[in-house]
Amino acid sequence: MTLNGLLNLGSEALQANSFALNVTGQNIANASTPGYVTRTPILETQVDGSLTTGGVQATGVSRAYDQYTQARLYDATGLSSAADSRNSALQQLQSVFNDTAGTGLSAPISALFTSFSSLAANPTDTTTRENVLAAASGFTQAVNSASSSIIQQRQDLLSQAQGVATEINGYATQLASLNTQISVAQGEGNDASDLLAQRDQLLTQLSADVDVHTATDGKGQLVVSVSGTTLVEGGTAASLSVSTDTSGNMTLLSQTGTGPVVDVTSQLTGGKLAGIKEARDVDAEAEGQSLDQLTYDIGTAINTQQEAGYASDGSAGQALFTLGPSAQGAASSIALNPAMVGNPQLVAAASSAATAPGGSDNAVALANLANENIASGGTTTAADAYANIVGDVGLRAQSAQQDSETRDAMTSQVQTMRDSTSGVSLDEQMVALSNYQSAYSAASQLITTASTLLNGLITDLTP
Amino acid sequence: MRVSDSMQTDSILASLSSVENQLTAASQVASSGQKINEPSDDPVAAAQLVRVNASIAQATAYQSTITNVQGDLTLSESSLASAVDVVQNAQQIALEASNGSVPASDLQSMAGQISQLQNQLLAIANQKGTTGYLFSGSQTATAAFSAAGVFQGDGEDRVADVGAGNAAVVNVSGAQAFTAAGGVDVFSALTALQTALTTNDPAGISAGVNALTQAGSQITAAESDAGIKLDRLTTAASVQQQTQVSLATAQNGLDAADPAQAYTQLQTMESAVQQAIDTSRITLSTLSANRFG
Repeated sequence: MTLNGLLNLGSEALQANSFALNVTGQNIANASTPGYVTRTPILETQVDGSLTTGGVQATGVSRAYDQYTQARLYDATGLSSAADSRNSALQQLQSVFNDTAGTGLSAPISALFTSFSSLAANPTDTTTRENVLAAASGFTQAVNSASSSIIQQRQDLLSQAQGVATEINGYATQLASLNTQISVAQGEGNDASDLLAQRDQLLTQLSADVDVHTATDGKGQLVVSVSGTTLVEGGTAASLSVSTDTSGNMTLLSQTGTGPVVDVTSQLTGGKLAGIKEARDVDAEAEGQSLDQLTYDIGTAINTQQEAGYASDGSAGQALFTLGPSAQGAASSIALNPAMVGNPQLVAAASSAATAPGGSDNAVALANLANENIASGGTTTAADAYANIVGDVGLRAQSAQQDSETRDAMTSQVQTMRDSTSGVSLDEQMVALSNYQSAYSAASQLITTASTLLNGLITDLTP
Repeated sequence: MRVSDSMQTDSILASLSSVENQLTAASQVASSGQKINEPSDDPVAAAQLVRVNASIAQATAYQSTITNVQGDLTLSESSLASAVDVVQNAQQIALEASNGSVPASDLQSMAGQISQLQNQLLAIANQKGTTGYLFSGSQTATAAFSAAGVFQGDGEDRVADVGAGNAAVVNVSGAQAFTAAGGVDVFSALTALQTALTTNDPAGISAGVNALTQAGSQITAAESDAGIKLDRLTTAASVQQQTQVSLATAQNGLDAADPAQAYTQLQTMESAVQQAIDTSRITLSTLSANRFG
């Protein structure tokens, strides 16, 4: 070992520790960067052939990265974001049926039936008859508006899903280009930590939109699959789009380049898209259908009874509502029969032409429909059927809320696991910093010492 | 476990937002006084509440129906009582005339009185209530009797809903009270009596006495029929009243928040939020301490 060797040793130590300080600096700088993975400098002893030099060298950084936890994080993020989307959609859906806030249909339905009850007590009074028409039109307006709220919500959810698909495509393009950059960097033997951290973060963001699975292909490139289809393979990205099928349900389509368009809806399991799809095509659809059925049942029962009676001028009763031939779309299309509008005398209170105008048998029969099992295939009363809708939408909203809470808790647990492995601890960095700082100071002291010795030697040896 | 800084800040955020959510929920209950502000708060109770509210609306409608029809039925009853008086007056006159010692000139004036009583009775039989002519059956727009005393209505019952499946008859049949359908045609009997008095026909006068006796009991029967119908309405009204009370209790039980409980919960949540904020402040001050100085 020579004095020059000592100088070399010192300089290597300076380099290695300054690299380590640099890495510590990166960690501190990125303490709050989402998706950043803590780096540890890899310091190794310098080997020169079979010689022991005692030197040190920095060979790179290692990332505190756990692929399993990361995959769990994608899953958990996907599930909790699906539950959140469904939850917020259902909170909106249940506001359509929120009778405690006065937005439900229970008041208009009651008003409709009680108007017949008042009619029976006073069949010749024009105001009472007008009140029947007003209650009937109040009922149609209330169901029309409930139905259009649901239709509008389904439309909004579709637009939202289309926005999400656009976002996914943006992520896919960025992931493809990151994949290319990473393989170039790694091919050139460079450290790709920053690029890898960016890619992880993009994947986490992507997993909030749709279910994400990652794998590595034969060439060592990352393959990202979503909803059972390959979204990104190496530098190639597919594109997703959201559309509707013939029955109006949301579909998720995938296309790679100019290849065929594939319907991948059935494999959608996570992320906002899955939550939106369930809220739109399962929850809102079911409530919309129940509302249609109830409207159709009430409308049909009243029309039938009204047609069985006689108006105050002795003419045969006409339908009170215009109604389609089936329940489908009934809630949005039901309206007061135009022939009845402004003609309160046509309300059929009497049960025969002879008993008009004072007869009230038919009005009693109309009022009694409130107590008859006219809804849900003749199994419940109208009020019960509506109560069932409220109960059902409440249960759905409640379970969505609980799901969302449970899954959020799961996600934050996984996030904690991930942060525990990969997050930056400033305490740790403080210790590392002072560690490397001392080593760096000691190394400079080493160089000073070697240099002093050398100087002394040169002075002594100089005649 | 290795604790990174972001774990600590994330957990502070999570616990703060959780207690604040609970505080919002508690303050909603306390300020609205309702346990159920959305169906998802308690789906089963929310559905039950809809049923209870529908029943309350119905009970209220039944009650207002009863109040509406009670007026006309009471008027019918008192009209019939006056009709009985009129018929009894006529009967008195007929009895007086039938004892044979009344001079012919008095008989003429008696005939005049009968004619006036007949007009009085016609006015009573054509009494109108809030729903039209009381004694015309379903022909409420037509006077029950023509000026000549011919019945123009029908014998139909008018019904109203006074309870679930309880349709009560709310009119008294004019046909039963005043026409041959009930036994004697009261107006024909009075006309016949008037003729008998004018023509001094003792047989006719005594037939008139009999007819009017029958007419009196016929109208009295109609009057008591009105009384029975009114009783039925009163019973129905008290049933609906009781129903409403028990429904209101049910509604209250389902929906109303216990003020003491709601307020206590609100205060508990308030101090929980305060504690969470204090704890967060301590944790954050540790985190932000200058460890590198």
